[in-house]
Amino acid sequence: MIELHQVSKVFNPGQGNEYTAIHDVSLAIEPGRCTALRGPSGSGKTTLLGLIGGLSRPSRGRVRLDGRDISALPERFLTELRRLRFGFVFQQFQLIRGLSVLENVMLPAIPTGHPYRQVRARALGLLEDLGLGHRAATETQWLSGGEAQRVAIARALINDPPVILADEPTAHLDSGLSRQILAVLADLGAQGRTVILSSHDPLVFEVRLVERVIDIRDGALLP
Amino acid sequence: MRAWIERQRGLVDYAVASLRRRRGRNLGLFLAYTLLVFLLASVVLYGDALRREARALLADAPELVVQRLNAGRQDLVPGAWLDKLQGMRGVRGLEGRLWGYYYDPAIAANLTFQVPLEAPPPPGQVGIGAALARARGLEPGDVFSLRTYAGQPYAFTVARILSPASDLASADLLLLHAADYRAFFGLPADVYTDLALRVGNEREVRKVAEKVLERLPGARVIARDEMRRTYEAAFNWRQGLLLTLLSTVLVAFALLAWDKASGLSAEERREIGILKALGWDTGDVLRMKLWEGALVSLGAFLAGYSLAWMHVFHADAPLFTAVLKGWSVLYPAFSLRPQVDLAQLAALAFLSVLPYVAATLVPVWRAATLDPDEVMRG
Amino acid sequence: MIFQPPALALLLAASLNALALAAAGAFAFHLLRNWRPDQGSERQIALERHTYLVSTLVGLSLVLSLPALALFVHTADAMAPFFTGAMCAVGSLKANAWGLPALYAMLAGFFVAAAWLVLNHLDNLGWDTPLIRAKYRLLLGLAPLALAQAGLLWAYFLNLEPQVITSCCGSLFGPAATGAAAELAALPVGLAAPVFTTTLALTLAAGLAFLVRGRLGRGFALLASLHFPIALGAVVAFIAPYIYEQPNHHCPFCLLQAEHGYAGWVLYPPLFLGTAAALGVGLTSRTRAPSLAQAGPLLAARLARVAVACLGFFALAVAVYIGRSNLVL
Repeated sequence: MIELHQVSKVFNPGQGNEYTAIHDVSLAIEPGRCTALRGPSGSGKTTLLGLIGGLSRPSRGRVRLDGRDISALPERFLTELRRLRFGFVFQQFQLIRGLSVLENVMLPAIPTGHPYRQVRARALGLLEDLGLGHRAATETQWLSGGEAQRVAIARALINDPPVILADEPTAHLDSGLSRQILAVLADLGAQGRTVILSSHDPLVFEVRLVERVIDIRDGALLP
Repeated sequence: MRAWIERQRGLVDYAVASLRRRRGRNLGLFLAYTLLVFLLASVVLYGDALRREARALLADAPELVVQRLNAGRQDLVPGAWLDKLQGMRGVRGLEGRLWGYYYDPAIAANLTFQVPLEAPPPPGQVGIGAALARARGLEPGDVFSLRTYAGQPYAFTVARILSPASDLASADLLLLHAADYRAFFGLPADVYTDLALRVGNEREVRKVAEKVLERLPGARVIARDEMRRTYEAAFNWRQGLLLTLLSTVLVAFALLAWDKASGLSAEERREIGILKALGWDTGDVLRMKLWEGALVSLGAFLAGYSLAWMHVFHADAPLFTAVLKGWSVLYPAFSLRPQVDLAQLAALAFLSVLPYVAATLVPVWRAATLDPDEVMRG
Repeated sequence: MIFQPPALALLLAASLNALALAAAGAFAFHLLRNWRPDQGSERQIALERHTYLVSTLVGLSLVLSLPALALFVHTADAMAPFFTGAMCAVGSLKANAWGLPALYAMLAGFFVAAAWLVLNHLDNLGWDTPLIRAKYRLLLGLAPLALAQAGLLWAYFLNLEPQVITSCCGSLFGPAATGAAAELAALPVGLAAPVFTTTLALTLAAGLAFLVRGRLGRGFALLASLHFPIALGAVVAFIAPYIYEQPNHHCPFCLLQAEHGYAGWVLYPPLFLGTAAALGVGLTSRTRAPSLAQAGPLLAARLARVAVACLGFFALAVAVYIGRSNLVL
């Protein structure tokens, strides 16, 4: 259960280019369901997603995870929490060039100290499930958009997190691939995970996936 | 504990992969690093080897040498002195030595004439050092002559060429019989250049020296330890001087390392941002980067040290010979004996790796503390 | 005397160390005034970031302190021929007034850095970093120590005059000399041995009591810190002579050489490590912070295991050396 209480995020505070991305947002995300943040570009969806997932700290307000305040945790604790509870799929995929698909997928598991073989086996399993088993040794710069997106999802799942956050999951994909990805996300939801995504793509809201929509505009929630 | 090892292993793996990916970028630094280690190690290896040679040489020298001074200058020792020093407690051996210098105009070099205390060559024959043999093109059986101070030529037959093993001392040496020595230099029968005393117990040397001075008030007594100290000090000092001069190279290298570490490319920043967004905390990124540095250091140290080893022990260190060995026209062609010394390695490691760590620590830390925020906003 | 590679290396290391820890000390001052953990302000985040740098610096300092100590003693030993009357490291160190203080400063530096790292590790296990103030107050003490270390080393090497007659271990530890060092050597075995054995036994007992019952943690640390100088004294008084098989050779540094089977390397590292670990137990066994309720005792237990193992090994090694020796004092 993720709760935000009157959260604001201000970038470059006190400087000439001060910019408030999120104004006084309060919301609660229910576990086990798929929630979508809907709004145009620049509405603050990505920032809000980051705040929900503990990727950044609020300038004001509090973020609670299962009742526990995580806004003021020291970095190493916040990071550990994020590592184990959240899986991120970024808008630009953000895979590391020069490393193979398999190595990329295993990255979030390195700080956990789990035995290498276990992690590798799990990573291969995830890739197989997503139909990418044959691409395990390929370097990421040779992947197509759809493949890269699926690698990003596999990477997000390596630590078996209960919550998946996906930022604009269909942004760089055509309709066919978009539907595939949304099907994967629906699968994850069926497994009992909490899925939170942000999008302004109408296709996302057409398919049977999203159970709750939160509209956001100019950094504030629309009632 | 196990988890910690696995974690480090993962970080090291990533560090290795990261270095491999940026081979070109890191190559310049690696070469500079290797060069630094090479220079430092060459100086240290060479100086230490020379010092060891000198020490080995002096091991056989007599514990005390007694000389006669006349108005502050060295004079010949009368045979009567030998009698005066007879029967001293603690003295195992007492002998008069004959040795001196001779300038050979044919090869424009100073030779050392010496009458060895054991197994001198037969009268008329000499043993000569390898460098002298080379310079004059002599082989055993050859006859050559030198002009005495009286102006007469004196003939010598080469009995043997001294083994090159202790070439440091024997290069310009000419060993001959006492009768030849006295005849060549026109010395009477009962004088010596100096007296050699062998003392059995090291702790007694001081006392014996004092007693000699009591019995022979005008004498100068030189202890082997003092000679050893002087040699060591000379080599030490030269070595240290070279190292201090090399400190400019060290500073230049440190600046290069700092510059390299500070200038993160956009790609590298992106990567760190991604890692942090994926759940690596600052400590993990920092440790990974430190591993990178450690691997570069290890590689450069091994490469530099190996090259220095070959430079010193297989090529005779042409770069440093002049400064470290000192002056001489006849350079002995000796090869230094290689030896690895843990303390020496430690000192070298401190001198080369510490500046690298010092120069790169803050930039690496700065890189590790980047915010993952920016990554999310793509 | 300063112009030799090991001396230059040591001086470089000590100077860099002093610089780094002085900067860390300045930061400690800043942090103690401005630390506000409940705020997510920019300043707080910046302070947090800097703590990573500080802990890395102290960690490096600790890792280098033991090799530096070994190099220092080895260099002093190698320089002995330059000083009339000096037979080994002791003579070199006594050649001027700065040698032994420099050695003691390096020893102290090792223990304080070890203590700091233990505190740091424990502190980071708590989500509210409860020990941060105590930690940085300790750092304020570590900085001047590092400066003293560097200063003493510089003073030592700059003031070495090779021809100076100095006391060698013979006259320092021999019957005719005066001074604290000679008094230790003059301690009859009948007195030194029981004191040493009792202290060591008590220390180990306290350690075991802590492992079994979880109590006496601070007592263990106290006993271990008492035991350390006594153990060093015992080495000088009778352990060293047993190893050399010579009743009048008391030098603690000659043990490090090859001709005595590197006995020093067998005895000293476990002693140092064990004592440092025991100090760690004292620091971690009674933390009252709620966030460390579990982590504290766990860490203390781990440290206690290390301490007991090391000190136990030390005891065993001493017994073996004395048992094997042909000397009877």
